[in-house]
Amino acid sequence: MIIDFLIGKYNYIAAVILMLVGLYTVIVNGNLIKKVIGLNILSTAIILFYISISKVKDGSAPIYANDVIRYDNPLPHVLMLTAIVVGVSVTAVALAIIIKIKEHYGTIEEDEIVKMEMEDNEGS
Amino acid sequence: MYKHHIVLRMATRMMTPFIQLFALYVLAHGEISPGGGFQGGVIFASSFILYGIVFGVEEVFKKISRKMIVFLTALGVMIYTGVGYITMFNGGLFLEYAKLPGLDMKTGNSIGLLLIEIGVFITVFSVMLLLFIEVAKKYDN
Amino acid sequence: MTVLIDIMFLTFLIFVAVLAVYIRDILSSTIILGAYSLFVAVLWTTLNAIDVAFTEAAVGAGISTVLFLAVFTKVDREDRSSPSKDRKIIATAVVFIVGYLLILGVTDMPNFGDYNWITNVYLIPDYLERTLKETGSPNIVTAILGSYRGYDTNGETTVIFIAGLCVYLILRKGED
Repeated sequence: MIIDFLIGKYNYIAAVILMLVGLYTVIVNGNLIKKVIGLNILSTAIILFYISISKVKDGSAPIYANDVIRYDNPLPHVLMLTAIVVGVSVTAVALAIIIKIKEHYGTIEEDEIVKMEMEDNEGS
Repeated sequence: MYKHHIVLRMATRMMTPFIQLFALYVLAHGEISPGGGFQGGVIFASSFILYGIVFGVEEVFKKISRKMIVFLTALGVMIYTGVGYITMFNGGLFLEYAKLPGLDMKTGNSIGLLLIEIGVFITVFSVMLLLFIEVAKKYDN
Repeated sequence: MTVLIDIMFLTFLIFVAVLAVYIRDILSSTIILGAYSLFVAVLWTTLNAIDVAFTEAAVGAGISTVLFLAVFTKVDREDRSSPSKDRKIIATAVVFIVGYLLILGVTDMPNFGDYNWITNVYLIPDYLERTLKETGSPNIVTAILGSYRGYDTNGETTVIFIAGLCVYLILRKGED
């Protein structure tokens, strides 16, 4: 029974695991670039989930052709096309902010930035 | 940047036009095969990025100025929204391509789709190039 | 047989993702992320999402990696973070709770490839039937993207435009 569950829903479970890997990195890792990498993995996991929903048995790619039993669901593809392009926009803005943080603080480690801020507050 | 790497420079010079041609092919065939404005725009931008990585960002500005790039980002969005307004003034709804002036429903849909893809192409191309040249600003020194 | 390849591929994908976040050298981590994106693009092709695969290969493996690499001209390559124990415990708890809830949700999903499920029978046959007649475009994804969901794409183009403008304004250094 558990084998059936694993084989039948493996794509969804893989999406959940990838999502948790990304989430754990975003929470735990103090390096800001690692956080952006975790965010990228998280967005990929969500795309995997949607694309897995769109695939049907014996389905072919959603481009009109002859001798086709049935087509895959094209709507999740459209939505995920948007998600990928918005994802790269988010990455770019995050990296721009990281560069500014590096110029201002001289480091991109979250712990060190927090420590500097604390010292500044005590000094003033 | 790599002044002594002659193979790299020559290969880049030769590959760039073919990459750009492929980008335009992807844009034009977006309706009948995989592809479209986004993919074409990104590939077109990647040809400039390759040029920038090999020859330095300053060389890219000789081909296309920074002001032009910023202007193009806005132009693409304007083309897209402009198509919507043209159909509105012609008696249809926003982005109802069948109401483009002088076209019947099927041709109008086809031409309208191509027009908005061109808008998306211009915006995506210029924004991706802008992101690269802004993030890699001090690449040369 | 296809199921077996799919399972192996997905397991490998999880392995690569863990490797990308585990390695301390961020430059290697970035390169592995680019390889991960390329693997993901191949996976989309096997799942018949060709447009998405094309975009992922161009954007995820191409532009994203180049942007990360461009940042490394300015920041250190080494990941010096040493998260405290409390933070790890809290993160593990959060991950377990979220994971439990998501797996609980997955048990209600249909099996992979079920064509009688609600997302595949509601509205989709209508789209498939009307697209060629109304737009004359054989690629259904492009037709939906441009025609039936034109507003979405308009908003998306605006989002990209605003992102470009944001980066331009954030990194501007007094030049015009």
